[in-house]
Amino acid sequence: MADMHPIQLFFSSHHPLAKKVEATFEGSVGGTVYVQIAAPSDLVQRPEDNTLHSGFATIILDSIMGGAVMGTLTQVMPIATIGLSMHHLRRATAGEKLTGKAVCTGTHNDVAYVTGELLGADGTPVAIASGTFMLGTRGTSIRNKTTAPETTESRI
Amino acid sequence: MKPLSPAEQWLAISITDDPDLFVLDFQEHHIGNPIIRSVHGGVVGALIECAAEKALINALKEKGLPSEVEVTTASIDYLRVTKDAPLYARVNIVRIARRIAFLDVKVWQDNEELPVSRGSCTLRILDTTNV
Repeated sequence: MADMHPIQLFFSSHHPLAKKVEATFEGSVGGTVYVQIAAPSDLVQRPEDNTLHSGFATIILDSIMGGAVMGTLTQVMPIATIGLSMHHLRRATAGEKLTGKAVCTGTHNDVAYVTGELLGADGTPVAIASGTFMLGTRGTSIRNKTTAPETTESRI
Repeated sequence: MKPLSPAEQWLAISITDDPDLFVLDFQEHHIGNPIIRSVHGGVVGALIECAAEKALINALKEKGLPSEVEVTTASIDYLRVTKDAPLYARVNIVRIARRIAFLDVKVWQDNEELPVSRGSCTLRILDTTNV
């Protein structure tokens, strides 16, 4: 388990969201991760042509981009998405085999900068994205102890 | 009324009396971080995209225009941590042009004045008259 990439841990876990997506970790090189995904029929938006909602790509890319960031950390710490920019080029079809790729380009002032793409089996893009992730966000203790108004204490 | 798609059922999105206000009923499969039980950022993004689509479809129908739309771009800011509770999304239609539309979406949980996320979406309006 200790040698598993964070993405591999996420998609192989009993996490209810991860179980929904048939995803296989393909490997990582530096801050780049590759994942194979089968587009789930539960997220079909248009039954007429069996295409998925764009939110599917948003969920996948947020997950693997976060995983790419986790893979670059030298010590485990909580992270949080602070910005996500999604471009949806086409809708994935249910059952379609997709490749997800995320690259953590760099980190500056505790903010990680990431790009991601979701491609069809023939290489045609389904979605491309860029995102920013805050490193070292606060854990549950802050939320559990905080009774003061949220405006005085923030996790990010 | 068009029945909810499988994706909308999975997201557990419901409409309200306000055509620009939508609710995502919390489901266990929406969890992103099981330790703090926050909603997955992608699920919040999916809510923003879905709410923008639905609000635009409502607006186009009112004008008697074709109502097939697709999200082209969504830019999402995550302002606060979420919790395992319903999310509310209010859509503000910025502009509806001939082929595209621009919409802003605000998402909150307890208090509309303390949004957890905001989104800026561009949607393509598809001409279905000759299909």
